[in-house]
Amino acid sequence: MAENLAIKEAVHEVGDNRWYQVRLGAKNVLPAAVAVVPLGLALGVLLVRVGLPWWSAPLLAGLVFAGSLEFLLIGLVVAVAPLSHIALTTLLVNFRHVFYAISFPLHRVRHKGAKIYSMFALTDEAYALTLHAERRNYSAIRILSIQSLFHASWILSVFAGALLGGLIPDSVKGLEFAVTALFVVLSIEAYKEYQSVPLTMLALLSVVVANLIAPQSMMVVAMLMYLLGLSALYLVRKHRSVKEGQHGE
Amino acid sequence: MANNLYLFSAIALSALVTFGLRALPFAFIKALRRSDLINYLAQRMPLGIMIVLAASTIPQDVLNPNVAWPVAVALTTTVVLHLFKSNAVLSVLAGTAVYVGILSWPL
Repeated sequence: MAENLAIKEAVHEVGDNRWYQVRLGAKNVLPAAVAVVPLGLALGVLLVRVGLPWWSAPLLAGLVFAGSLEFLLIGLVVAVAPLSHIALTTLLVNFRHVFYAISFPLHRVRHKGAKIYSMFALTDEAYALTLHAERRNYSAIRILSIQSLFHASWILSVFAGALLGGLIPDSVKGLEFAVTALFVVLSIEAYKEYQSVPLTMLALLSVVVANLIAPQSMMVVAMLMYLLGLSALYLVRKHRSVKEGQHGE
Repeated sequence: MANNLYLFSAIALSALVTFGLRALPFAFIKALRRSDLINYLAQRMPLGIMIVLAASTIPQDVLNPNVAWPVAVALTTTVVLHLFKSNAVLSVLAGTAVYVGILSWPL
């Protein structure tokens, strides 16, 4: 079975033009790569305005590669927060990434170095854009193309923001909305794949309650609540199916 | 002001923790994929995660009507365009253009 898959993939890889696979990936990643440009510019501008050196822009964008956290990090670094505080914030804000491994098709990427890169670059966007990679038979090159082009777009826009920040007039406001719009689009796409009104309600309820009880860490708390809600639904369903099984006998 | 050593350490530490969170689950991936609960969650997590991410990037003071209406107009633009055209680049850029337009050039 595994061998069959491997042979199938190998044939697929050799048969298809590599460049064509890169372009397919580029087509997949285009909306995300475009959407993060304004955010990257904003991050670069902010970084220089708070007094951090320009060269830390590509370093931060390239190595941490987690948009929302990078904004938080700038604030922490400027305040010279203790490193333990920085580690803890990273842990909390990025904890959601733990779930991305479950659906990310890492086994399709064979080369060891590429595997490491693929895990490193498993951002929210990479996760969202590869949710159907398994079913739709994406090649390793296509997956890596999605991840690396997104990475390049992010580094370049943050760097450009740091270098050219002065050229964007202060009167231009609200560029950060691009990321909200991107996640709204990704929500609609996620809904198309899993059409559930109750789960949409559960997510919205989690957002509202988290906002009330922990406005400073809304994202983390809301995700935790959604996860707990789902787990509860799972237990209820399992309990029911066990009961039905007993009745059936 | 932060010195360079501190800046390097902060970035390296944050990069390391992020990488750990992304990579570590793959060490147990076979066991995870065998679990009923994990599969149940994996199917249903994307919808919730994307909604929470969208909500957490909306401006904090969105309950203030002056902030709320540009957000509402821009969100409507994005959602309606996406439902009718299904072109993600167009939906994102149009929504952002509307938002930036309202905020940068008030009537």
